[in-house]
Amino acid sequence: MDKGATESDPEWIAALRARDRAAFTQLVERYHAGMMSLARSLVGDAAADVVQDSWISAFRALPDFRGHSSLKTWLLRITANRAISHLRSRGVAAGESAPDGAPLDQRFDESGRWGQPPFPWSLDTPDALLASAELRETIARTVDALPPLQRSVLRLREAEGLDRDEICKILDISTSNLHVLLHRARVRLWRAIEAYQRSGDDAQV
Amino acid sequence: MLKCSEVSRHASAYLDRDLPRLTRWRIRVHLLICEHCRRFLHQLELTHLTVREQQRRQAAVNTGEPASVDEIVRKAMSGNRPDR
Repeated sequence: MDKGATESDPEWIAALRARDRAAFTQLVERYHAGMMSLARSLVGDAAADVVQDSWISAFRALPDFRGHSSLKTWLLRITANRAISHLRSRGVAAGESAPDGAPLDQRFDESGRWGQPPFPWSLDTPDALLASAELRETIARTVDALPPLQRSVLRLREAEGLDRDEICKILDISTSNLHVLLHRARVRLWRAIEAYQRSGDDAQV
Repeated sequence: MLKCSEVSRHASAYLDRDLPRLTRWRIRVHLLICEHCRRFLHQLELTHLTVREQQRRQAAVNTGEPASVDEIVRKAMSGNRPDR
């Protein structure tokens, strides 16, 4: 079997279903890193254990792989399942522990207009924002503090560039749920960047 | 006429082009006359682009410990769950 075996290669898929060692080794080589990235976003340091566990489940389930989704989506879904049950076994909620409602509510007046409008930003491009080590640190800290599902949605969408339907399948959530998670995550990050820009301006006064 | 609070709730979906056409159009009309919402949308998009860039840089650094593929395969095939 050559290194370039793909999902469209029926021989490779057949070998995987038959739990052939060489085919399985290729599968691990190809998808391990992506599974680690997803697991890290959900469970942090426990990612290596969760992913090893996922490989055990995947190996057992290979004969049942029907190709309804891509191998990547199938493996990431197994990983997300494992990671979420890991969180559950530790009493951690994957979603929001307490719903924060519309996260911006306090910025509007009773008529729904901006009471505290967005503060103008002096840094106005991604490169300018990321040039500041302090702001990179602020963003990383804010991402780390997000509820696990928001963090993994951000990871799958922004870092891995997966499309909406794949993410919904992997995390077993609805499209509207995905929007809410992504929106909350972005608004939190927006607030963190705004606070940083505001403090920077104060410091210059 | 949409309220600013409603525009803000749709902001992410608007940026992702994931809204019904009518809602999208109503937001556009609102943005024509509301400077604060224009600024918010712009900043939220900038946030999205910045975080995306940061996440990608991190993912590139974090490709992680070079776990031994053979070890992973051996454990998966023998079905031993990692010790917790």
